[in-house]
Amino acid sequence: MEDHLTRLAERIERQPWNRPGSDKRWVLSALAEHQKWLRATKRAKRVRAR
Amino acid sequence: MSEPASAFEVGLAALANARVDFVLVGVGGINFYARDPAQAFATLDVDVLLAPQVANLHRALRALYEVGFQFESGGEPFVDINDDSTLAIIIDRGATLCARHHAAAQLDLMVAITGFSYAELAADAIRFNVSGSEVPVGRLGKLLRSKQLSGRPKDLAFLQAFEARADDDDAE
Repeated sequence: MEDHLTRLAERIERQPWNRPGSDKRWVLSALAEHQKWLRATKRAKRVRAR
Repeated sequence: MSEPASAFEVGLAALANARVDFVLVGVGGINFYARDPAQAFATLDVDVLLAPQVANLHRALRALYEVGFQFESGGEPFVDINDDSTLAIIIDRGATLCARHHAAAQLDLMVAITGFSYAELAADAIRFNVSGSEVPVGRLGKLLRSKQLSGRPKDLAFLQAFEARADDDDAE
């Protein structure tokens, strides 16, 4: 499993979107959106099924 | 017009600007290697591994405090951010401090992770750009290996999901 993981990681790191300096703002924006969604679902009121 | 910076961005920019020695790890770090949001894994926080020195931990806490973060340790408020002897104990114990922002961002401030020292992770970390700040992220192989070495069921389950998703991407 270790070798497989290493090869997998190396292959992913070689992708063009993972070059050093790539813009990764979207990662944190997506995380913040996910948090917002979680908060909204916690606030949502349950309604009775008809 | 670009969207406003999330509290996650604000926090990481504050660490970078304050010249804190840190590297992102955990699922939050692994997500930096995803191609797009659909490939990223759901997580509630970002794990920030700090160089385990009192001065560095102090710089990190001060920088985050100034942009609105507050801290918890073991579920209790942590207010001794200027107390070096307390910070030294946190480092000795390898404890994690939770930095929370009112906008719901959470950064877990760690001084140790399974399998690698800070120096080993920082040595070859990849620096990505987030809103003009350089954010160092641990090499993907090391982040995955750390999860494997931890042996926790949730980490092993994550690795299975990660591999399955990578195989699916190959098939596309």
